[in-house]
Amino acid sequence: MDFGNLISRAFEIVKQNKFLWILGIVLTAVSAGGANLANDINYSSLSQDLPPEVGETVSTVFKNILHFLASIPLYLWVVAILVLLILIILSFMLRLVIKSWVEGALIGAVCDLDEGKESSLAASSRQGRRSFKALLWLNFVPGLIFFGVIFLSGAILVPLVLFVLPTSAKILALILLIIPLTLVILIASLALNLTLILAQRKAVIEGLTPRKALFESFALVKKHFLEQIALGLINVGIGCGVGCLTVLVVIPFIPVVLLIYILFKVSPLIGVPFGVLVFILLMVAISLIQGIFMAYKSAVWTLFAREIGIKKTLQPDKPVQTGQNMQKYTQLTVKCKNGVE
Amino acid sequence: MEESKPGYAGYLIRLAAYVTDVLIFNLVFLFLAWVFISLYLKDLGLLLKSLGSLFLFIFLFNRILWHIYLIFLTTHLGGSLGKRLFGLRVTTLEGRNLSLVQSAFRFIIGYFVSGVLLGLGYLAIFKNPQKQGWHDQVSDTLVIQEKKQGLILGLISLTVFLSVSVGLFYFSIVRLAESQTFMIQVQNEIEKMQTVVQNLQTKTSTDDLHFYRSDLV
Repeated sequence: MDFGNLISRAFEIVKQNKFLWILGIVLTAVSAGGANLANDINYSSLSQDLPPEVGETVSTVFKNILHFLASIPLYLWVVAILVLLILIILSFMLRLVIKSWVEGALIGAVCDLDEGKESSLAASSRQGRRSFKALLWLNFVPGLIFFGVIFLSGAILVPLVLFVLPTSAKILALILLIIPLTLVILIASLALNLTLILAQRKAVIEGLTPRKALFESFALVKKHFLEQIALGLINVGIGCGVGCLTVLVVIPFIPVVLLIYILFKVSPLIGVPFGVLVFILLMVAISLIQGIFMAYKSAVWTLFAREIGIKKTLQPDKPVQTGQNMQKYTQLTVKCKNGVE
Repeated sequence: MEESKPGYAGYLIRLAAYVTDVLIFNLVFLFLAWVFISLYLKDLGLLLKSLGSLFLFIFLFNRILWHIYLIFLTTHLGGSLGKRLFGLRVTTLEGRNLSLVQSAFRFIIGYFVSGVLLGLGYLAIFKNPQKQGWHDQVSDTLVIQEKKQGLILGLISLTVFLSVSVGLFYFSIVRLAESQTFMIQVQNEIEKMQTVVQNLQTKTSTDDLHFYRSDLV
């Protein structure tokens, strides 16, 4: 397989169709692993470094907060926790729905563009909506089954090793179990990921049911395993390049940050808006780079899928002519208002 | 008499309709806050508790209720209250009212798409020939201006709702400021806090002195 040609085609498609960038940015936004800066701060060391006075002020504030929180009735707490739980589940489901739709839209659009047809945000969205149920199933069910199996195996094996086996056999059993189990989990997760990449394309391009797409893709993965691994590694390399590019984008902002600091010292009224503006610009630049890379990744896998034989079998969409419909609607409204119909 | 043709609604009128919607939606909460202030003015604890509960409710349910408001009214009336007052209608490409699913898609996923790059998707309305934002494009919807006269009614409603909101806010603050019992209670709390801060400052400066002395020695 000519990987160079595949990659350059994917880049060309993404470069020429800017609506793919939007879809890429959306996909990046919903695929992010929920990075939380707060988790990186070591609170224990922070409190150790603080002078005792600050600690006292904090404790006074803390006492007041505790006093206020204690005054809230218990039933309100229960309701708040329940609602928060529901909101977390809802947001997880929403992310999954958006992810499934946008993946379908990207795959459908790249497929159309590679065939020489025109595509747009609206047309790709229609394809995303059509294949969204299948992708939702693929994004949720196989992963759930995979983690369910790991959890069940752990739930059976760990008590077996810890409580049933004699002490001398425990260490041996652990060594014998941990290494092969880790290997099995790694290989299974790799196989699942590779299968899912192709299954998504099969479901969108060929319109297969998710189960059929999954089984047929597994057969394809076995046939093209090395090629798929090679493309995955190339993508990892390009991803590192994109990471370096992101750093390169951030570097010019360092003197700007210093300038903001000086401006803030001179006058916070100028420093704060300027700082916010620079922060927004930086965020836009980073989102754009990440979005373009995400669109490229989706495009290159779609082109790969087409190269190994996943072809369109569905009838093309009937184009929707909004101008004509608008004219019809106008005529209908006028007729209705005049009492003709 | 010349019949006014429906055309695509532009950015500014849609923005005005959106602001009207925000005002209508938040008016309920503002009214409730005003009621609580009027009822529990003499009891600072009860007032803080009721206002705290209201803010908690807004924090938890605001986004959900806002989306239900938009989705439900767009499906049944062809647009939210703000849009209808401005004579706007959200339609499918064929000119029909949106189904519940299409409406939910437009307001949840579509708005997410438009907002993902700092709201750039809303500005696409300026550039698109059918004045579609990204959220309109991904959900196959159009926003049309049914009645040109709607603009006047919309602007009047916007002014009324804005005045009522500002009025409610202003009268709530004035009511709080005019109440002697409330002000005395707030003053007591401030004095308590000032004492705590003063105590802390005295302690810090004494400690600093000890620190410098030990350093010199």
